Amino acid sequence: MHRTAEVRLWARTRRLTLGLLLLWLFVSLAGPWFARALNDWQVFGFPAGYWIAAQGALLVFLAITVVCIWQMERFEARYEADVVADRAADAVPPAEPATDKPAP
Amino acid sequence: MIGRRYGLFLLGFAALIGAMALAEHEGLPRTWIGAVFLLVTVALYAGIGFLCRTSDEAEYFVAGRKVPAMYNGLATAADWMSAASFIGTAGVLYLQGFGGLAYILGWTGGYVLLAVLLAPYLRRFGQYTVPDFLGARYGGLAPRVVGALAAVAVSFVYLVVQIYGVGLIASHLTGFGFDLGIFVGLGGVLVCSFLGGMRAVTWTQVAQYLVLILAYLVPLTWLSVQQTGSLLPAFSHGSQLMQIARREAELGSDPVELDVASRQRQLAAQTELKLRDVRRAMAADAQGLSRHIEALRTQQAPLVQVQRAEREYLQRPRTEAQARLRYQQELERARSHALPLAGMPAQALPYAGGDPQGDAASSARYRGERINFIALMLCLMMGTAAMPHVLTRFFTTRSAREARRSVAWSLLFITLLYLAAPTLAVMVKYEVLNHVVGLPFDQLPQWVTRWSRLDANLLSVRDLNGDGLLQLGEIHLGADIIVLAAPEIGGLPYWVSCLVAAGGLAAALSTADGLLLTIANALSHDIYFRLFNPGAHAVSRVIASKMLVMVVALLAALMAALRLTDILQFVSAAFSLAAAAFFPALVMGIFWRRANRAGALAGMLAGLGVCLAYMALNLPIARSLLGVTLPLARTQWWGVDAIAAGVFAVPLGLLVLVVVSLLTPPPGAEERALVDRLRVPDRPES
Repeated sequence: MHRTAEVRLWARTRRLTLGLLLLWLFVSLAGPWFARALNDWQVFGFPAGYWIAAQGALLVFLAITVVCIWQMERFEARYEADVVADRAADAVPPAEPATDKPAP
Repeated sequence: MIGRRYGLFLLGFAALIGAMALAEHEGLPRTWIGAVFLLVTVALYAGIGFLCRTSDEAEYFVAGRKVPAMYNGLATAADWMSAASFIGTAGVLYLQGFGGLAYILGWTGGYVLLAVLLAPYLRRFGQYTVPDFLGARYGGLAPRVVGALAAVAVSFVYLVVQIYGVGLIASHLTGFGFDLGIFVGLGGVLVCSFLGGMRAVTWTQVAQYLVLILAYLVPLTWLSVQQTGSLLPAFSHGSQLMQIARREAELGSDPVELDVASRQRQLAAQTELKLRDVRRAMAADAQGLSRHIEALRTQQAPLVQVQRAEREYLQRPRTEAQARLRYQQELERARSHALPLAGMPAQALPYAGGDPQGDAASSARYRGERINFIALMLCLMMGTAAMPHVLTRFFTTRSAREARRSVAWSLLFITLLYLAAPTLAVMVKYEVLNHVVGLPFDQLPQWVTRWSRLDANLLSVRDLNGDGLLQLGEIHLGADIIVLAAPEIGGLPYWVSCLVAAGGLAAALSTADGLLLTIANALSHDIYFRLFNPGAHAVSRVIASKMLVMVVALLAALMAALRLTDILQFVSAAFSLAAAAFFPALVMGIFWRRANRAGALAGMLAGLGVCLAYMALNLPIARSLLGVTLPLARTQWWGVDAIAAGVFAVPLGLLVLVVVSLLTPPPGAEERALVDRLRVPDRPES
């Protein structure tokens, strides 16, 4: 029995959510934790530890949010296509057992 | 269409600025310029509010769910920027250096959580308020009611502080009294929320964002061009940071500064003695001051000095309570100025109070500061994602997809301001350390003398060692003055200062509007309608909310007029409480089908309980009220300050939610169906 489009969408959503949260957690924790040591280096003319907390992390947060939107909209478009395909597959009795499309 | 309207608004606003700049040049008195800025901007917001008036339920509660993503982002950013954010953030960064960045990180990182975990799912749920979601997802009345009460409590504290800020700024702009300033601001808030609810508030907030971003960036860029010639100070202030570090090293080892620091220590000891017998100290002070004035007169000292001494005499405290408060403030100030660099950590040095390579005590202080930075940051992030008035903003978008995009727009507009705040702090510090410290007292810049006369809490100078030169240890700058005085520091014309004040007003009004509506809607929709009178018609629900808007606004204004400055501690606590009450229940409600009513309720109450208990044991004001005497080493967990109590409350609440949910029957089919619906885009019309 093949998984429905809903299940597939939610599986992708969960994976993406976990990945983005881990990235968020990493930036939020690693930046401040190592800030003093990072200050020994310079980034764009600023001490690196300070720059990450004042600017770098903010830009990463923005990037994570944009990636979330981009990926989720892709998943939802894929979901719409899957729904159509499922309906078509249900309308015609399958000649062979349906197989899951592998996620790229 | 919308773009054209706001384009027109911007043009009109630019015309106002131009007109005021010209008027100042032609000699229009300052109070007039300030009054015009105040009245015109408030009138503009009131006008937009009037144009958007409505009694339709959907329009009133969620702006008809028609707000496009970018405009919702602008409105959310304005809603988010409170008076404290606008005026206080640069000040905290100036005074605490790296430590202030915990606020910057906390208040932006939370938006990632909103985008990933909350906003689109809540929008897909589609009702009017967050307690609505709790009620539908978990069933029954308890989660909804607890949520509504928590939303009201958290938002009300925040609201009182905003109205207080409105009063301060309005009175600064016009020279009218504080109470009159509150009245004017209150009027502005009410016209929007009362007449048009969320619809009016949203569109007004868009205008208010435009005002506040202009008000922040204009002085910042102008100052930057003056100091370094750069038009993009956020990218170019690295060199100033380096110079500040060098100057800090110089001042830290300067023997004159060290001498001033030891005099501050003596002053602190003297003030402690004063506090033991306040009445005698008051009399002794008055005598000493009048004798000082006599001495200055016989010496034929410069008029400025005599006037300053006379002013001190006139402004001495009259009652014992006033005197006690004044001595307390002086004590704290003297104690902080007895530390190197007048108690300010090196600007770019993380956890400057300790040294990882130093002795045991020093590396313990380093680790303590680092833990507290991270704890505060995480607490603010989760609190940001759980703030009721922010969550409600995503109900007004057109779809879940737009809600998600709206979070990104909000974060972009918020980041603009939070990139600017550390920049401004650095530039002001650069000016103070290089161009103010070391000057003779009779050649101090205009802005120093003006503000020290206006409000000694914001700025005070005192020649402790009598050498006639200003040392760093002799000048005290309050947090709020960094933004308010930045235009004057650069010698910019007065209309720029008025513009800044108008921006602060926009920030305060926009947040106050959002909070007021959240409170009124929670009370009318979640308590009155769902709890007491489920048969109420849409019209009477809107009327109930409008009545509540008036009552709550008046209550908040009354409380603000009491001028309880300790309330600021409670604002930081609000983030912890919001996180504890809402974060676990909302996130688990969306991501875990097994979460049930008992679990959610237990989680919310456990989280709130832990939060309140931790604060009761560790917040200074609570400790003195409750008579807690156990040392902080015993009542704190890992040395984390009470302000970050949410960082414990959320995981504990989460744990309780999971355990209790597993121990009790699973949720019904209706709740499970709701969760399934949230996870999938709405079926398009075929």
